[in-house]
Amino acid sequence: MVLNVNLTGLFFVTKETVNRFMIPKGEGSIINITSVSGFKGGEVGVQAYAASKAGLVGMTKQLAVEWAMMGIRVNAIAPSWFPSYMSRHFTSEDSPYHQQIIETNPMRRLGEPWELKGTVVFLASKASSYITGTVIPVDGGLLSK
Amino acid sequence: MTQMNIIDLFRLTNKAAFVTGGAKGLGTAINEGLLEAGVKKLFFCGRGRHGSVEAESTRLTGLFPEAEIIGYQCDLSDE
Repeated sequence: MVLNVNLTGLFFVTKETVNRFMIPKGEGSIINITSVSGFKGGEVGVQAYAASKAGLVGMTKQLAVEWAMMGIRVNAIAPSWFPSYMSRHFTSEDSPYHQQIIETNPMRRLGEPWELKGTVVFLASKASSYITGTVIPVDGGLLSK
Repeated sequence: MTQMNIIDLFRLTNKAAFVTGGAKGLGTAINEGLLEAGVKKLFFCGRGRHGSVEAESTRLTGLFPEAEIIGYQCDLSDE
């Protein structure tokens, strides 16, 4: 189920979007939201999630190379823990994992949703016109540990 | 490619964007960022439980009345 949404479903949507809109225009930027879980293990019970996000890193790099000549860039963002409805069992203050997540992060805090905006706009815009196939962590330094 | 001013490099004026998982959570911050940068047409989709697609459409239309915002209810795992 997780793989169907995060990887397989996303691949079909990406392919359709590229074929219908980006190839005809000769330009486009795809930004996949992967996760630090795609790079390293962490809290327990998220194996399928980690597998899907690591797969998405591979898909990002492969499609970047395949579509570069068509003016289409493919990059990814790897967030660490952000508070959301989906992550609430880990990130909410009454979660048994909350304290551990905070203490593990070099910045000693969760990300705030608005902190993704800058990276998204950077990757979507001409500011990153020569960048494709990269993954930018937005993680308070977690992947550098 | 022609050289551009640094602020203009970040502008998404008159662009179209499609955000999956855009009805709730982090996707809504991404919607906002794209619209603030100038996106003219924003398509987003989400599984839409508890009316979240309509709620996000209404919120974004209020914040960015000049943009065209179209929310879809869809499940990416459903081929």
